[in-house]
Amino acid sequence: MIPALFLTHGHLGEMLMEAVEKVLGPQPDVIVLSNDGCTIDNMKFNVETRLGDRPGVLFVDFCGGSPYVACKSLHEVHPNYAVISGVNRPMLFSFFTKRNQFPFSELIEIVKADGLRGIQLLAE
Amino acid sequence: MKIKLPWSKERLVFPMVRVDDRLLHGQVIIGWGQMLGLRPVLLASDRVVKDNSLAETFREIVPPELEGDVITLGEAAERWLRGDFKTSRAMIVVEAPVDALKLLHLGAPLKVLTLGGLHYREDREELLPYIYLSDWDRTTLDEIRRRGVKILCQDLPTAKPVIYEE
Repeated sequence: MIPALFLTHGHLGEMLMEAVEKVLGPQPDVIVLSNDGCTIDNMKFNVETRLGDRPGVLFVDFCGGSPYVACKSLHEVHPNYAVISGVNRPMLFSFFTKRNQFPFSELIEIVKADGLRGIQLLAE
Repeated sequence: MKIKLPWSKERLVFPMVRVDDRLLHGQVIIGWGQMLGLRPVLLASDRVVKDNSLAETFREIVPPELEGDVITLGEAAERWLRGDFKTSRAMIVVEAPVDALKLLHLGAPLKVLTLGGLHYREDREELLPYIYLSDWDRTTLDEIRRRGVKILCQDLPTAKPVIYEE
């Protein structure tokens, strides 16, 4: 099973997972980390310690935050860590319902597309 | 709605020089940069300049209107002395107190230094929840103070600045 790892600000990862599990029930193979009190090196260490050499999907809250910088730098050493920024519930629903149906490389593209599709603007 | 700051914006001195070991990140880019319309937002770090992919990451993550860049400490001091920051609301981020001291050595007319974020490491002791200092950091900050620089601790614009004392 492809693990999901959250590296976000504050308790965002926990809260997102709580909200996801309200819909999908408990999900296995989920690692939730925060950047609270961490240097970039601390964050990288925490991710590597938990994920090791396994392929995994790293969900970070936004492109520009320290979790993104840490994960991008890890991705260069571990090409099998996929990093997706701007984590939202649509992409998480996609990931957890489809992670056993598609090969890794296809899955991450689908997850990103579903995440984008979840953003709709109704105005005027 | 206007956010009321617990300090006067008129007191802002540009370029703002911030010590932050997370370098360019959310608090810097969004919390300060986008909120207060700062530009350019520069990371001055000889270490990062040498690390091409890391430097590229930091250049990428800054929204274009903030005119972000990664430059050497020497270049930062040179641009400062040349008067490049006179009319701009610039921010210069350095990763450690020693880099701020290097800016002084390079002739930069630094008057106010802000400690924005130095996170927990084994050799550091807590001063504030977002500021941990090693003995070496303290020695360096004391040296900076002796050169007439006012040192403040402040993570975000909405926080009240705390004066750093020996």
